Amino acid sequence: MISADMKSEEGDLDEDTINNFTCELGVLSQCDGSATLCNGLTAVLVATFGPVEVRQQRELVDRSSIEVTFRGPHGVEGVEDRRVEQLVRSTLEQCVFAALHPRTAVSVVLNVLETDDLLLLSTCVNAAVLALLDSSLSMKYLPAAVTCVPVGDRVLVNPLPSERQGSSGGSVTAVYDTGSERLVACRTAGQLSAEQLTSCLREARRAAALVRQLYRRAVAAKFSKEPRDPWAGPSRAEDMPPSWRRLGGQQTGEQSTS
Amino acid sequence: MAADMRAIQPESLYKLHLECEERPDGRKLDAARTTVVTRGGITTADGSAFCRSGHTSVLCGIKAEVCTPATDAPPDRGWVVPNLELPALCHHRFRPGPPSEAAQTASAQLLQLLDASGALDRTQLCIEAGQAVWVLYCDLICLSHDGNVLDVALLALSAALTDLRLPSAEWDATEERLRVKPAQRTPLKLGPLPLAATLAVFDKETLVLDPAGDEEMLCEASVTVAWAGDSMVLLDKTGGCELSLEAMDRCIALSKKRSLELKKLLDCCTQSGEVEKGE
Repeated sequence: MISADMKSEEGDLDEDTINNFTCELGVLSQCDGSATLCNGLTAVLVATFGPVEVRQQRELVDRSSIEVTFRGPHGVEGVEDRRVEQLVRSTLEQCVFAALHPRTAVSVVLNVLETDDLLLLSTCVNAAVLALLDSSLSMKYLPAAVTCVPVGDRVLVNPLPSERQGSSGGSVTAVYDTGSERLVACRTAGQLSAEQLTSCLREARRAAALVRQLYRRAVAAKFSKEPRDPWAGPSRAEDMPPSWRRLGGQQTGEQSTS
Repeated sequence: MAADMRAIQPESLYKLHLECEERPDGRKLDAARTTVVTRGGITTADGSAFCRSGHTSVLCGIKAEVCTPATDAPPDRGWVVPNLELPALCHHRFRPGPPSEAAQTASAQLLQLLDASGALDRTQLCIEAGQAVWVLYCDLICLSHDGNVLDVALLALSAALTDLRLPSAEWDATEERLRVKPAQRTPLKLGPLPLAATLAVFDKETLVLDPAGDEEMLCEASVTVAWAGDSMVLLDKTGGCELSLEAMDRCIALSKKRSLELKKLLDCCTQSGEVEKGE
């Protein structure tokens, strides 16, 4: 289980700006790549298959077709789910080297285990990238998503619900190309002023570099020789979202094969 | 020769246009198409509006129905259900069948815009808490799709909300039923309505306001910014090529200017009556 304590990596970011990320690659055995990512109270499990055979109506002759399916935590599917799929798909279409696999499909399935709605979009994008890293699909660059909330004069990055007191309800989810530090995708919620948006985008650019370190450590852990238990969860029970605890938290008896 | 090039190499032809800072339909890069708003066209609806921008046109009709609020929902709020339909008649790329992803995401965006702008306080839609509330079904149909449907649909929705007249309704507590008087109608009190401007991005730096159909197909990315008064209620850059923060600042400035033009158009329309035409 990889836990990236962001506070110790970057000295110039405030102590309370970045939450603990927890992620694990290769949790599911029957798919080409899988990952779970837990960010604060939001946990997402992603499975990816690809490149696989594509339906004829979706076939593209010069590149692979990226298909994203989103399953929310509860309720029937709605139009809001399509918006999440649209953001994740359009981000992945830019970063995946689709031209290497023409006439195929890459299918990414997002399952939300737990959510507090604010960090959902950014967690979905990051988890999808981790799952694609696990499946070893070639990518041109690694996108990293961060959610920023302006509170008064400050900008909070990936805040927990308790930290968001005093915000006017506006938030920005920004996806950055971690290599060139340019904005790939962005979506806002609630009301913001133009100045708040600009300061959020600048903070998000700095935080995206830390998410890139998380990716590196996740992949390094995947290839390390230490025994791993995918369901062990974070070391402290309080760090786990409720659905994570329900999944087990004990040895399953069989190690996952990567 | 231009016609041949448009068929074989449309991107190159369009880039030549951009170098001359003019678009194929003669507009400057930061000029929007002529926008027309007409309210009250559908007499059977409680509120309606028709909006056309260039060749893109969207018709919005609002019907108000009475409903009992759900047990897990706040008892004193009504709700609004916007639904944008992109039928097969608006463009050849849409086939008959279930709503496409474009239509679903646009419907979700319209609802988010109404919520974020605070234009409509849902407690106004309450007749009797826990017993009867109004539900506004806003049906938007795109009649012709020539690019930038979301802006036009949002303008049609905002205009239809200003045209909406709710019948007066009273809850009779002794008989436990609703008494509706369809002849007596009152308008809603609306806050600042959301108005959007979409820009298409070419070559990572060139911004083009209000893209037409072919420009939308050729662009590398598009950015939609919606304003309600002085607050930004949506910025949506969904994938596409990367954008620098300086280009993003220019997007915000151009969209603010466009939203002020749209607001002026909507205000004139609301005051004067039916048809208003603006640039």
